[in-house]
Parts: sequence; C-alpha cells; structure tokens
Amino acid sequence: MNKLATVLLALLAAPVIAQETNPVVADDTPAQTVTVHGYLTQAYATSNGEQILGIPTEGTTDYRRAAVLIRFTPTKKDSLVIQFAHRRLGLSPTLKFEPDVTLDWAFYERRLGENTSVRVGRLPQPMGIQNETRYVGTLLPFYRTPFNFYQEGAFTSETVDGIGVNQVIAPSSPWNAEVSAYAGGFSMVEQSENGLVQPNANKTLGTQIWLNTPISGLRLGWGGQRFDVTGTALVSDGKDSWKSDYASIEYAGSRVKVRSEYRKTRIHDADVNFESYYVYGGVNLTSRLAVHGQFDTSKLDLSERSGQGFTIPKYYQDWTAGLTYSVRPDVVLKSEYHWTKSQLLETNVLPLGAPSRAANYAIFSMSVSF
Amino acid sequence: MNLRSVSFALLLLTASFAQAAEYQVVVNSSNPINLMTKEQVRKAFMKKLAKWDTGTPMVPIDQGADSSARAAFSRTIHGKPVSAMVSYWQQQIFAGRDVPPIEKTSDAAVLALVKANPGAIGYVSGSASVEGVKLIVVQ
Repeated sequence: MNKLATVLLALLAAPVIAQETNPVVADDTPAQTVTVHGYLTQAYATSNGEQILGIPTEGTTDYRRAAVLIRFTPTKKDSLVIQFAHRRLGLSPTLKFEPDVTLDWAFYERRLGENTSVRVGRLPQPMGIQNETRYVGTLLPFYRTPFNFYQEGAFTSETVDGIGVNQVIAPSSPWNAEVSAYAGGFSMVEQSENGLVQPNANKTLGTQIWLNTPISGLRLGWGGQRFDVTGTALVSDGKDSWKSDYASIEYAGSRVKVRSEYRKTRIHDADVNFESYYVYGGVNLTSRLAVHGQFDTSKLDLSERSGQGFTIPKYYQDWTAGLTYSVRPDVVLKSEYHWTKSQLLETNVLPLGAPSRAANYAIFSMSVSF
Repeated sequence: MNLRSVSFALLLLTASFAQAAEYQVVVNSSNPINLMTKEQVRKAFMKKLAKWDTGTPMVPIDQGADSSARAAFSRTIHGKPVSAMVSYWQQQIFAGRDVPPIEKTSDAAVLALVKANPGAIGYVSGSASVEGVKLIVVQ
C-alpha cells in the first residue's frame, strides 16, 4: 500500500474515534459550508475451496473499502462534492488497473427549485437500490452488494463522467416519484479468456425511476442504460454496444427488510445476453442484532455467439447467510458465509462453458462511518 | 376571551401535555409561527422544507443520537427509532445528496443556536427552560 493510502486510512480512523456529531463550522453559525464524511470496511476473507473474487484458501485481510467524501456548500443551491476512495480485493486480477487511491467522485450540483437538481462532473450512477452507496458497509447486510446485479471489479462502472438530472414528482402525494437521468462516458475493466483490457464506454444514456407507495417503506424501481464501447476484446473490431434494463422492489420496515432486483443485459455485436436476479431478506432480532439471507444468481447466454453456442445457467450462483451486530448505527460487525457455484474461480481456470464449480467462502468484517 | 381564543388555549394545553414529558419544539422568538403539524416538523427535520412562510431560510437543529429527547422526538415525529434516521442520513450523505441537520449535544446548545438564528427550529427535553425562545404547538 502506498503512502497516500496510508494517509487516507489514518484520516479515516481519527475522525471515527472522535466523531459524535456531524462536522459544522463555528458553534453559533448555522451554515454548513464544508462537511467531511467517510467510511471504512475492513474484512478478513477466506475460501474453503478455490480462489474466488480475490479470496484465497489461505485467507486474506487485504480486503477493504474506504472513502472520504468532502462536500462544499457555499449556498443552499450549490454544492461541490469530491470523494476519494480506496479498495482492495485480495488477490483479484481486476485490481491491475486500479491505483490504491482514486478520485471516485468530483461533481458540481445545482439545485433548481425544491425538486430539481443537476450534476456535472464524475458522478455516481443512480442504478438500482444500492449503486450510489454500494461500499458503505454500515448500510449493507453483507460485505458487498449482490454480485450479479451490481458486479465488482470487471464489466461495471459505478460512476459516469458527464451530466445528471434528478427530479422529484408530486412530493406531497403518497404516490410520489423520483426520476434520475444521466449521460456521458466511463471506462471499465473487461475480463475474458483474452485477459484483461480496459475499454471505454461513450454515448452513455441512463435512467432510474423510483415510485414510492402509500405503504411506508415500500418502493418500486425501474431503470435502463445503454452505451457504445470501444476497445473491447469480445469482438474483433473492438466496437460494440451494451443495453441493460433493470427492475427493483424494496420493502424496508422497522423490523423486516425485503428486496429483490432483476437485470437483463445484452452486448449486441458479441451476441452475449446476461440475466440476473437476487432476493434478499433480513430481520432485526434485537435493536442491534440482525440475521440476513440472500439468493443471487445469473445466467450467461452465448447461444447466439458463433463458435460457442451454449448457455451457462449458473454463471455465478450464491446462497448467503449472515449476521450483523450494530455496536452503534455507525459501527457494524458482520459475519457471512457464501455457498457458490460459478465460472468465476481464479485458480484451475477452465474454459467458459465448463460445468460451474463450487467454492464456499466466509467474510468477517467491521464497518465504520462518520 | 372569545371562543377562538379558548379553543386555541385548549389546543395549546393539550399539545403541551402531549409533548411536555419528553421534548419541546422551539423556534426563534421573532418567528411569527405558533403552531405546526407533525408532518411540517417532520419535513423540516428531513430538510424537505427550505423556508418559513416569511421567506427566512429554515435551519433545523437535531440533538445527538444518544439524547433521550431525540429518541422521543424521532419516535413521535418520524415514527422511527434514531438508528433508522441515522441510516437514512448515511444514505443521503454517501449518495452525495445531502447532509443531516446541524447536531447539538445539549439542550443549552440547541437553545443558544435557536436564540441566535431567526430561521432555527429545534427541540429540547421536556424539563428544559425555554425562556428566550418560542415554544411551538405540534398537532
């Protein structure tokens, strides 16, 4: 880990210990012109079969995510948000292109009236229930968000360089909606039998719509995204286009949480279709202790792809059980166990299409935020 | 005293009894408002109301997460425990959307800020003296 990462982690640790209230300026000044927040999740992860998602059989503590978010708000209408982030994924090859500390977000936001805002810069993609907060361990039941829907490391970008608009519709109605749309570009890591490459996505258009219902805690979501990609290794000329659609449903009660999301992605010229869904349920046994369960699965359809022509029904399938203990709302301990069958094993790699193999892994982690 | 005044006095008395035991909602003494609905107070502390009717920017002031006044306020006004509200604000913060209201760790600190700021709204424990600020009736 380089010096910058060490400094980042030290910066994170100090306020976590001292933090009792949100940072504000002088006591008698109500304006909050600069706020600093952050989070850290440190894990120990071990696999009992083969290496998967960077987790080796001998275990690793090189598994963490941290970020510092700085928000400068000179007026009630204007904000500048910058987030620096650090991520380690054990022995995962996808870290090849990732520096220890990255400028994760950097965007300017302008509020236009009470219900509309515009963002410009590098901004988080509003996608599904958890993309914008996907690494905030104190908000998650497990170490990571469901792998198939959100992905991590490869074939995904959490941010877009461009512009985003957010509009709240009928905020006073029990049936109110929030609509987000964005456009721009990004780069991502692509992992295939040809190795790792870093294609660029451009002409990205995306949207996310949330419908809040009169039933407290119940909301429905729909979203879509399309982009052109250059530099992909999946087709000979390196150019392709992606299109994804997704749907979400979430119920967050005071004691029970249930959510499910479905995603369908088509990579046009490569003739690749990817379908995934997950179902999650969690129950608070006490005010601090909660039990969680999740089923996450995906299907990779290459039946239209010349030279391959098959479907992999369990590209990554994961049954997960876990416990969380909230020492405080901003300090959470987690233990989780995953029973998986997949094509994602990182040792004894077999060609795509070979039967999916089992690998079980456990993650023990501590998350703090301030 | 006319019927309207008697009704208002009764309303004030009823509402005062309801919240007296656990918390009191206060605003700056220059604020002309006397009465707010629970929904208005909830929106104020969710930062979904930007201004008072007078045009003065609204400045909600929360108490620390360990405060008993906050526990009662959160249960009554938001209908949720403090931990759920902390999670809500964590989501807002880390989605880059907003930051929570200013937090003060004592009744005295809340009262000092409410006295000093014309747009402030806060709450203090039921036993706190509210001299120098205005007590609001919450329906």
